[in-house]
Amino acid sequence: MSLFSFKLDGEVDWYSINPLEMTNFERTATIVALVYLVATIVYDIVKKKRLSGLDKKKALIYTPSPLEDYPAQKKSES
Amino acid sequence: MGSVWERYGLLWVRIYLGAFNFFSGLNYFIHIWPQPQAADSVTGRYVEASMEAGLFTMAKVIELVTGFLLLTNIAVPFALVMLMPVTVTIFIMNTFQSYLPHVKASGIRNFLFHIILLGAYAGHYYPMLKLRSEPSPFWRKPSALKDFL
Repeated sequence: MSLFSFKLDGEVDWYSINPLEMTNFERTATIVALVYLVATIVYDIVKKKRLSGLDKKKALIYTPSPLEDYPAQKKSES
Repeated sequence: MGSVWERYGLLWVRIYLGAFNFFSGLNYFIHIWPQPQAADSVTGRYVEASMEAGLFTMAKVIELVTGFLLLTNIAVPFALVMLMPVTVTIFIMNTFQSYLPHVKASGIRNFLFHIILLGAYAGHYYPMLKLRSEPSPFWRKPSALKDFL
């Protein structure tokens, strides 16, 4: 059926609605979108692996400690 | 932001529409490929008239700029609004004037992608749908623009 025909000849069949039959703009857009999508998926996987190493259940405990080289304190002592 | 399919599906649609329009606009100024020719007489006459009026060049500049904005994910809601006249014109000419199935499908596909993106970014347009709005002139508080950038 010519409506879904596809031929790898570098030309676009204007009577075919097969998505593989592409004009130059469609081919470029498909390639750019594919590359961008693959790069995003890879980036997301790498980011997820990096973040999974963090122990999110560990509570953040902050213990305040006095500064040793506080100038005002040193002045009053002297 | 939603499911994985939603994230990557919208990404595909945005990048495809952005790249299509960007290279379509770029090709008009830097002749990479032969300029597509209209197969039917109505589209051909329309393109000829719009070229003579300078509207075709303006449409190609809009395609180039909005394509770039969509590709780089900058001001996407604004880009979608700017690109709408071009997408609608191409949809009408391709779908209702052309007799070639591929041309019809191409116009429908781009229009569909545009509508999907408008839906995806709909939250940014809700303030525009307010029934009663008071004027909020730019010149009253120009610095307010900084809050959005």
